[in-house]
Amino acid sequence: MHISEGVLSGSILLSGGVLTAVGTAIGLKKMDYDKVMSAALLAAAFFVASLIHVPIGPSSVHLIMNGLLGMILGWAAFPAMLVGLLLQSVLFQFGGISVLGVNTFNVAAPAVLCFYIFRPRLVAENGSTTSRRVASFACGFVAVLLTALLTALSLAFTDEGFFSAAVAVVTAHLPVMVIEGFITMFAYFFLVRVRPEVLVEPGRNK
Amino acid sequence: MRGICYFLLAVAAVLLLLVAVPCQAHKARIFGYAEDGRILTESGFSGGSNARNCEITVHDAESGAVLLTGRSNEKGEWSFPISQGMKNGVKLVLNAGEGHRGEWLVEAEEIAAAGVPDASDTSASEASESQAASTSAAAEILAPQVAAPVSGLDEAAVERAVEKALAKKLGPIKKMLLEINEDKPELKDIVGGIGYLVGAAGLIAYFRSRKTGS
Repeated sequence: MHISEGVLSGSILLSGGVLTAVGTAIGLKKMDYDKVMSAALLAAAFFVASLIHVPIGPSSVHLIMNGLLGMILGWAAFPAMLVGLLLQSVLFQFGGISVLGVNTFNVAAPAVLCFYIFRPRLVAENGSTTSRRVASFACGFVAVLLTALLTALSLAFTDEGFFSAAVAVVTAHLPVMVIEGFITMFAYFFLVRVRPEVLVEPGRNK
Repeated sequence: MRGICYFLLAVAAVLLLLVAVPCQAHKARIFGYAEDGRILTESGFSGGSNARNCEITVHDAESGAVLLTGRSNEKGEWSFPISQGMKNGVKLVLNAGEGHRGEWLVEAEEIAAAGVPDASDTSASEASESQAASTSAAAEILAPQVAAPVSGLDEAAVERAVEKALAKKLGPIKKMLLEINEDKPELKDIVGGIGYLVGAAGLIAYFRSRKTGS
């Protein structure tokens, strides 16, 4: 969800910047540098994802992929998404530099949260297929939902107000939540089959 | 089974890239021009779709004070008459909801050239004066032919007519220029961005491998 320049007040921009700086520092510290190339590829997927549009009513929304990134990268999602958003703002003029902190936090924090909530269920040895399906779908779904809510919260202090913004943003992103739930689910099962080491070791890639 | 998975993933990746290129972004933008005593605005998203029923505020270009607010119609258009308070130029701000915002500045000269509403009667000397001052270029082109006032047709009326015709023609051309200048996400930007990411990862991996002395 890209908030444009000039919409938010200075104090919100600053808090977003600080939170993102903290998250990125943690992410860089916890990143497994042996897997830096897969982090870059996931960041590239995130970078391209926002070009894929789902037309909704008057405007359109785009895919975010933060559930997928959170599931695999954990805290490293912060630096990955920061770089992805930075490149988007420089190359595509999406969002902006001043709102970079807020926009990054809005996509990365839900990614990390979903990492902590859903990943244990996905890497456990004794999980059933159904519970894995539900957990991976929910990871993708909830990540977009939380991003929509955080975006509405960021807009809460503008004249739109939280509730009207929340309703608008969440409803507009419902198709995205469903689509990303499925994408995350398929990606998870694909990885389990092809590259299980990415998911089976909860100690790495934190 | 593995083969099919790889294949499906490859197909998905190709489809993704193909779909990604034509799909433009949702950068909200607004464009406005002055014509015939009114300012006409068009709001939309980069990539073509209209911004329907979105709030537009008109600010004074110098002080930033809000002069007027309105909403775009089903086609993303909204127009309003030029008033006295707009002579410093106006800044049009589009609020397309959900944090999407676009701006456009209509310069003071353009507003002055379009005059104020109901400038068609000859008694509106103020309007014709400002129009005469800013359309000297157009008048010069016509001057050789209408050097002396010809039967009933005086210079000021001719200038007004020329200005009106020019504004009508230039409006769509300005819009075309805006669309050409627009930065749409192109394939080269996508490839470039992916390149930066992979390159950065490669550099990190390279320096790490040197540090561990392999």
